[in-house]
Amino acid sequence: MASKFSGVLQLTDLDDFITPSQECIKPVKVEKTAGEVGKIKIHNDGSYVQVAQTGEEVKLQKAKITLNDCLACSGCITSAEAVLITQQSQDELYRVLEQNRQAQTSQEKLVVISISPQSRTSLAARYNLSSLDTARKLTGFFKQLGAHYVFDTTFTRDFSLLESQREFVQRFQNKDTSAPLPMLASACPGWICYAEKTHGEYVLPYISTTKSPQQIMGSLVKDHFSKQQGKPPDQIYHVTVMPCFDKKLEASREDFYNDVYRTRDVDCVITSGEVEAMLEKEGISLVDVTPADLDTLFSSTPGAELLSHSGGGSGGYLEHIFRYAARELFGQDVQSVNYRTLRNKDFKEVTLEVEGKVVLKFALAYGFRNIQNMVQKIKRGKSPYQFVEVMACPSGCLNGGGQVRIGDKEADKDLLTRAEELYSALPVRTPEDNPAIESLYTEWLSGRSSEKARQMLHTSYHPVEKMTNALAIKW
Amino acid sequence: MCARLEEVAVLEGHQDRAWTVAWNPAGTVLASAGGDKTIRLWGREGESWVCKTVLEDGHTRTIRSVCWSPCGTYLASGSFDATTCVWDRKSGDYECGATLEGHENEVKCVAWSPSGQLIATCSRDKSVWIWEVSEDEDYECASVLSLHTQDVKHVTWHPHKEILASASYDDTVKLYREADDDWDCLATLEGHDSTVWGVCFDQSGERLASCSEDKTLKIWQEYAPGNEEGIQTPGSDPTWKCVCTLSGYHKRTVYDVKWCHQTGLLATASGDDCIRVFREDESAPDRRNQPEFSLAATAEQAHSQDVNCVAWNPKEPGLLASCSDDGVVKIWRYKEEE
Amino acid sequence: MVDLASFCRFSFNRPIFSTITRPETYNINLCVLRMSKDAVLRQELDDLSDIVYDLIRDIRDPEKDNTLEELDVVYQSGVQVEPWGEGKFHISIEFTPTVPHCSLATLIGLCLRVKLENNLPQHYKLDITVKEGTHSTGPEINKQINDKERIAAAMENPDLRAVVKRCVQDPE
Repeated sequence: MASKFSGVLQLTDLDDFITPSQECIKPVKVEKTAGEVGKIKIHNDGSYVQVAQTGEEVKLQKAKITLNDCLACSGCITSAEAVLITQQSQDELYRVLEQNRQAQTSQEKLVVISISPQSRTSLAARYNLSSLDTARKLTGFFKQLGAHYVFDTTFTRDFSLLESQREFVQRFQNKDTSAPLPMLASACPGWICYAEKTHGEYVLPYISTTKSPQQIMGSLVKDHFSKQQGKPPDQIYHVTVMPCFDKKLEASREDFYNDVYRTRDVDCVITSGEVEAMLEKEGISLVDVTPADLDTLFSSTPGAELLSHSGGGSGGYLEHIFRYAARELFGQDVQSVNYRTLRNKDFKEVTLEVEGKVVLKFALAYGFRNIQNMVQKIKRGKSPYQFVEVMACPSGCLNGGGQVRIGDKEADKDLLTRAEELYSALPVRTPEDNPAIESLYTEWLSGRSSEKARQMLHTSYHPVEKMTNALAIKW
Repeated sequence: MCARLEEVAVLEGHQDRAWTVAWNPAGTVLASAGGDKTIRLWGREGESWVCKTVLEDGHTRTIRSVCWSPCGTYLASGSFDATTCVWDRKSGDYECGATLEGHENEVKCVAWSPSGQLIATCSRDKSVWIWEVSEDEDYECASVLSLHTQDVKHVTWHPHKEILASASYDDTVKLYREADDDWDCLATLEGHDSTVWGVCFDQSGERLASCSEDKTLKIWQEYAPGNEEGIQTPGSDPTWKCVCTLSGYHKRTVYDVKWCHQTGLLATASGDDCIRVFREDESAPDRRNQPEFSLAATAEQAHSQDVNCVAWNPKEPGLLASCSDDGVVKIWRYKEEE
Repeated sequence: MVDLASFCRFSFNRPIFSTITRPETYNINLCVLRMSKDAVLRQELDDLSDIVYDLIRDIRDPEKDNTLEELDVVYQSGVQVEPWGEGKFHISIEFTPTVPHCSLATLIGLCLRVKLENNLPQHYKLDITVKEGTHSTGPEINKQINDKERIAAAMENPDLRAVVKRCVQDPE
């Protein structure tokens, strides 16, 4: 099976012929009664039974490996992939929707779908629709299937951008060794996973602690929205639609799991391509779906209009932080951000000069080769940048591994070009101008610097220990 | 006409198996390396060959591959310690001036492009990396090609174009070229039944030889778009077809194959302890599409164990170096006798 | 009869994993001079086969406290020795993993190879295979455990090396 993860993650997979059930070496705790001696028989169907001295056979439980187990293990990623397919897929969404149909009203889960602007754009390009039409039709489609709310993660990207901006300025001013520069963007889960598995403690302090738009949406839905609706978090089923497979790994992180309610901030991630598959399964083209009005609860605008952020299809982190830092730190109002392409189109640089001196130097580094050079420079203390927008995929998120693909190289290139055009055609607004965010800071988070704000909007990273169990080393 | 391989020199010194031998472009220095983590540089002193220098402390594990820069001033070494070192002699002695890091695990081969501007490395991590040499002798990653499904065993450059070939444990050979801002696969050569250990271009660059665990040697011919044979090509890219398979000669894995760019002779290193030289029959009726190769010479028991690598001297036709699991490096002369 | 112990010079004190220096081939012909040439050869091969088996039977399973022989992973009939050119041998070892999806089959292959490398002075070519049909990924395992480059690299991994060392150590 060809891996669907970003190239970065594929590279960290060292397995040669692994299938999770056979190769996984995760130790599993087995409940054993002391003193009991037993035989284990393997039946022809592959099941294991324990035979007691009395001859009684007890079927042994299969050891189950969760995605979290996979993430905490440096063994492989292939396993995680197979596990993902069972734990986070459109089938899982269908299962929950079906359960809802069978359940009594009081038992029914509230189904919330949060769609990323990159996925919406990919589907718009695929079906030759406008962004707004696509948004309305996707809302219609998911509501017909049984979803209650359909949100746009552009809304929580406002939070993510605002927090990133503030975090950068703090890092810049504090010169704190635990939060060094360059600050590295944190929105790309493929990059985070790679950094944790391969570069560990060396690189993690550089990564911004700000959560990605997906995970802030998770906090918002399972905390604030949940209280608003009077539904406990485990009674809300939160699905995001994302441009990349690695987002499934992100949603599964322990950091985003609520122990009390045993629920994740994002229960299930489906990709743009999987939405296309759902449409195919329903036997309908998105073009023919009856549109529905956009939910305005967590929306960028009260009206029927879509808004976006400047700075490209990967969220615009560089551009927003650059403008903010120029203003806050140097009193400069940046009119236009000029990118200088360096080694290749996925490696660009932006500088701010004040009185002939370069005071800010930021870079975009997309794709594995550029990440690699950046990481090596940081390791050698030779990075000239204060901020790097890191994304695992070449061309960034619009080209994510989960986007709609036709399968033909040229056609896919055209599709990406069309998506980029559609995306950049959207009107933009700075996050500071979103009044809803301002009131949420007050109502939901009790201020910008509160502990609550830190919990809801920031996260932490954990180096994955290198495998030393020789029985599990792939050679 | 018969030919033979005459043993010219037996070079002892490595404390473990010798994996690789490489001549400098002038043909005056032979570099060898292996399990003892050292690189030995051998040169002529009068009639005999002696070890001139031992390069140590560059790597912490086996050195699997060494390659000279086309200018002859740098030497790159790839190691099981996942790094590639670039040695220079600015201070007079050879020193490791740069370390290329990034592969997840064992580097299996390193190859310098003919222009000297690019270095290719490959690894068990299934990837092929292309590094760009910048003016200030910094090495930056220009591309990571994760197209093989298994361990990549060998990389080699086209003699005069920026085309790279890689051979893999996944039984295939892949060719790459730069297109559209990044490197991309141009062709995949399928035909071997097991690991492809080595691949090399002939002098023209229109032919490839590959050798494998399946004990065969295969010759591949390039067919450009619009070729007179009418062989289909994908778009504007050429296609490669296997035009000859040499089987029945090697009794064990063929670990290396080298095409002499001066004489057109093919030499192989094999796990059956022998070195073989193959010669193309110039009188074959259709040399391009149905070339015929015959075994010209065999050094039986060339080494007491597996022969791992062979290298033709780039300046002295017929001079061949070899190395083996027995830790010995040898120099041979190919001689034809009427 | 050939006295196995007399010519089977297991040099246990040699540093483990050295692959180059082997003691010179010993001479076993003294005690079998009376036999015909073919019979001598056959005898020699059979004896070598015994030696090989004696070496591998005591290798401990990486996980369990048993030897490979006790677990029926290796068995006398799985060892074949044939002449291979002048004064060299071709040894093939077949083994049977304990379960069809045994994840340690490659490690067992590694142990078999290392044990012979450390203790067998003869020049030989070695092929190790999983008994056909006894492992779900047999061909892949065979490919890996016969790739000498992978083996060489594996033995430079300190963790793997420690496990293999433990498994191939001779019983006290």
